[in-house]
Amino acid sequence: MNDVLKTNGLTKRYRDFKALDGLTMRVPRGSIYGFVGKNGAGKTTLIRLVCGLQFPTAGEFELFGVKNTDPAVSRARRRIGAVADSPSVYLDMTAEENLKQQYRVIGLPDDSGIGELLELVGLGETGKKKVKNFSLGMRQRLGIAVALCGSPDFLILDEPINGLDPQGIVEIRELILKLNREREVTVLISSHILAELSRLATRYGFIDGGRNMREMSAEELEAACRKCVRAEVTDTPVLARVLDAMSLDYRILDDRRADIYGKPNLTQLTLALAADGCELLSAKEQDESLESFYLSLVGGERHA
Amino acid sequence: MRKLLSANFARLFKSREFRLGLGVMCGFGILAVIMRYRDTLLDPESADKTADALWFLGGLFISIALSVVISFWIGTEYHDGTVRNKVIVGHTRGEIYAANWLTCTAASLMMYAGYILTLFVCGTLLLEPFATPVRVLALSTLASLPAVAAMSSVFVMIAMLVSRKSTGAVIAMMTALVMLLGAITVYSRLSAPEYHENTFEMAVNGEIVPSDPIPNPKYLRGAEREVYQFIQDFQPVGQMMQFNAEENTPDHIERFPAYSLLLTAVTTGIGTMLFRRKDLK
Repeated sequence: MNDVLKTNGLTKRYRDFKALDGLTMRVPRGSIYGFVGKNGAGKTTLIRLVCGLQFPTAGEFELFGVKNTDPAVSRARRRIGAVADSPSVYLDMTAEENLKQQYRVIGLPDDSGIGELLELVGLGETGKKKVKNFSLGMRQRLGIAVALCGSPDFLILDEPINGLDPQGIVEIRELILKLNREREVTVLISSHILAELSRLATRYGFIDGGRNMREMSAEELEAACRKCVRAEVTDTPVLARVLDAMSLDYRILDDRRADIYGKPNLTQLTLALAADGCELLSAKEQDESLESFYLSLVGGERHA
Repeated sequence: MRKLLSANFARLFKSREFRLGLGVMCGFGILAVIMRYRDTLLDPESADKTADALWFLGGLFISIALSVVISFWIGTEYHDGTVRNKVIVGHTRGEIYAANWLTCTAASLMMYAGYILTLFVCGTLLLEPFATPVRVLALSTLASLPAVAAMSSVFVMIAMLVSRKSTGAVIAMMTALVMLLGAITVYSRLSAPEYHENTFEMAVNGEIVPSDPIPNPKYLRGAEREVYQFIQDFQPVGQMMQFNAEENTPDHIERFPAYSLLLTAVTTGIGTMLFRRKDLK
């Protein structure tokens, strides 16, 4: 069992609205899974279903190899920690009291790790301050600390950097990376802030309209988004021959245009093309960002 | 379940709602004795000088206090979203409901005990000794405990099924008021006299003379009376009303625990079933 989470045709319907429409995805053990989608795409709904807060209308999922229809799924959930929607913390308690409360809920006998946990999320100095007086970012950190109580094997974070200042974003990123690398915690992070996700994720799942558009590894995404030069020539077969000879990756777009990956030496390229009777009409550097890749996946016309 | 209960009780004892509720019930016990003591000073001849008739007064009004305490205490779990933390870490919905019910019922009994103990201590200090034998008082009190548990079950069901804290509190308080006013109304109908006594009529010669008792049209008879009596016996505030009005030993006292247990089982069963299907957004 190499997948921590596997969904199969997962559907959630609210009256006439399908929040999830046959979602199929898998989160491999040890990965940081970036779950990408715009607002309302169905990210939070998936998290709610996995956490047991809602029930699927159709389809199924497996958590640590246990099907959601199996009563043992509750036992499997003991291995997860999650911040679903907004941070779930008692507003009338201090940060420490909140963690003590969660320790009791989990049944941890010794609460000596609470101080370390608070330090880990940067809330070590909050003292007797009630959570209702915390900023959104502090609540977000506390929500993550609550999710980390019980040392989960699978951490689910719904928009974890919402409300965080730049320093907080860096700290949470470092924390997630540390948990993943040092404690081998599998992480599912939903976000629509793609640039931030790209610094963390080892695998991506793109979702739109409740359907998964594509799943890919970080390497595949990097390849899809890598820099290229868009060249316009008079004869693309000649261009292809020349690029093969120069050992450069490329993609022919039509009979006049092609994307050349990497950084080609334009002088050498022009001379080589001219030797075969082909003219280089223009060359423009292209940089397909994660955002534009996502937009191209979900259909750019809808986002124009 | 043990873990949930440990977490629940830790939160309960720290919660402002519970402390306030307990304080109100104890304060009510003190106030009831002081008012009775004041009556004995103002009217030493005819005023009741014991606290016997006050014993179940707290039980009558505890429904209002419970509706507030329970709806706010459970409502906080929805308002702050913390009920989700329990589900996420693998507690079943059934366990969560049962733990909340047990905690709230224990809290309700503690509030009730707070009133009774305060009344007992203050009544002993300020008023004459209780006229009702201790055994009768103890048995009646024991018989009234299931009614408190039943009230708690009703309010737990409302609080667990209504996600909005304020809406849940309003519905619970309205329910408590309806139960209280219903009990008062039904009691007044049941206690209407069968005949109007001390009536007079005009004789043929124009003289006013005492007449035979006139049947009271508002007196409940037959099946209608049985239905009213059943409602009063069944609903927990109605039971408290009877404890309170019938010198601590109501006629149908033996039925009360069974009815209360039935109401507890029904509300807890329905509440658990619906909570299991509830979307926790």
